[in-house]
Amino acid sequence: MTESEMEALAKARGLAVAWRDHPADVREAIEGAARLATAFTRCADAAMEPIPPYAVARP
Amino acid sequence: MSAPLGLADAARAIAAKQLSPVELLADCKARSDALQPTLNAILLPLWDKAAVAAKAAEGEIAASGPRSPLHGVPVGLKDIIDLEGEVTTCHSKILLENRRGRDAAVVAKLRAAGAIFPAKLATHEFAIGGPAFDLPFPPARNPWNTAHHPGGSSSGSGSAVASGMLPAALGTDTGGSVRHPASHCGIVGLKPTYGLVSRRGVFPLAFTLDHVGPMTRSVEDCALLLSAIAGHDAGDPGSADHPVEDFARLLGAGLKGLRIGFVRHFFEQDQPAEAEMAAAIQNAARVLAAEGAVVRDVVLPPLGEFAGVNRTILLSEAGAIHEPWLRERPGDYAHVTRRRLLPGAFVSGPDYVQAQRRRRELIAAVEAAFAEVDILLTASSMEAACRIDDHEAVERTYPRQARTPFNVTGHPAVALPAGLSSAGMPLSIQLIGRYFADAALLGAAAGWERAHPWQKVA
Repeated sequence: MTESEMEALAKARGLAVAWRDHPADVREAIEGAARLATAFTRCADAAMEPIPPYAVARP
Repeated sequence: MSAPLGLADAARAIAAKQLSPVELLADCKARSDALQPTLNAILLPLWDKAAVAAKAAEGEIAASGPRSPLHGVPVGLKDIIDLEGEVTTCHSKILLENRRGRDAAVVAKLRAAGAIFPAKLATHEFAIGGPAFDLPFPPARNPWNTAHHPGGSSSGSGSAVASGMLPAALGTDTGGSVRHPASHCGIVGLKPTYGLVSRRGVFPLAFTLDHVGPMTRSVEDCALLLSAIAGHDAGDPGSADHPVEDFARLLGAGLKGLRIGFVRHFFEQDQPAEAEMAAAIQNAARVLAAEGAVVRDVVLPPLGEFAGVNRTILLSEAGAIHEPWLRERPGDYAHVTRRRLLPGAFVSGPDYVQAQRRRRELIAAVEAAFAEVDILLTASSMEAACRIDDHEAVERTYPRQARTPFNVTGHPAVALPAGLSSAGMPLSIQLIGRYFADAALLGAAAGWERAHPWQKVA
């Protein structure tokens, strides 16, 4: 991702102040979030529903 | 100064009228006066108010006996937990004036049981950003060696309890934040079953992963504190309607015949632990077997799968909570907090849902393991605490742990001491139980405690 693309993304997320004052942190955050997209295996079943909020530990 | 009393011993002495709450509090304060300047465990001291409460407890106990084992016993609160009339700063500049009008649900329960609250305790900022040196309050230090990190995010709770400043404290655990400081400070830290303990009045980090848990110097103390704070709360959407129980009732059950699944691959392959830590965990498996447990290897999905799901969910939910401040005043966070929170702004909606879908599969995998065993044994941390001022080591070691899987699945998990490293820092193990089998988990933990008694801070 180019610098201008990162700036546009940050501003689209409402982070203009962070981009102005802490650009290195924002760059790192964008790269870190991108890595999360491959951080775990996707479910093979396209129709599988997510665990409902707060439903873990329900017998 | 004599050895500090734990919660259960203090409760017994108070019930036998051999100790008054006033004397107990004075002992804690003397330790605090001596240790706080180097440990920074306390963020907000409340000794004067606690002294008034201790005097009242003394009178009430003299007249009609203790209400519960907690009556007249000091309990520290991580400063993301609301205490009526006091600020909840979350160790942050952003919430310095955040005075709260009512107790958190867990505090209300403890107050009803007669507990006393002498201090709000240091935390990593908003339970995620630390240790940090650019905040209004200094980071807590490890009582085993004050140059070292106490773990986090419930860092003050770990430091205060391990040092004997307080017999017990509450922490919170979203990715391991009760068990990490417990592991590094050589105490007991329990993340209960998700939903067993209310989070109402506790500043959230990630709604579907957050837990409140006890931190103590013994398993019995942990069971007593859990018994006081557990229970359904309609004001917490995650609270489970589960009957209140005595979590100390299985402490004497022993280990004979207990089926323990040993999750070796977490610390032998997935995130190889340092040699001393690995040896301590392997020794624990041998000791538990020698005590009559049936120990066999169990394979779960790779640790990285749990970590990726935990991180995606945690950052997304925390990103929503912190969105206004990240947009308007990002400079008011500590640098490390800002760095840890900002990625949440860029996690996609589909990635969050994918993580919650994968979470379901991971839960099924752990539940399948529990069809064959009663308890799981694995690592908590992969190494002992590093120096607190070694930023590279803190960043490198922070994710090297096996705690997040059980935030993802919601199973109860307890970190327990397992000896000392050659450098004199605590080593640890982690035991995990079935859903709502927290009493059985503590029973196994008590068996380990009897078989392998641990050293306290000198």
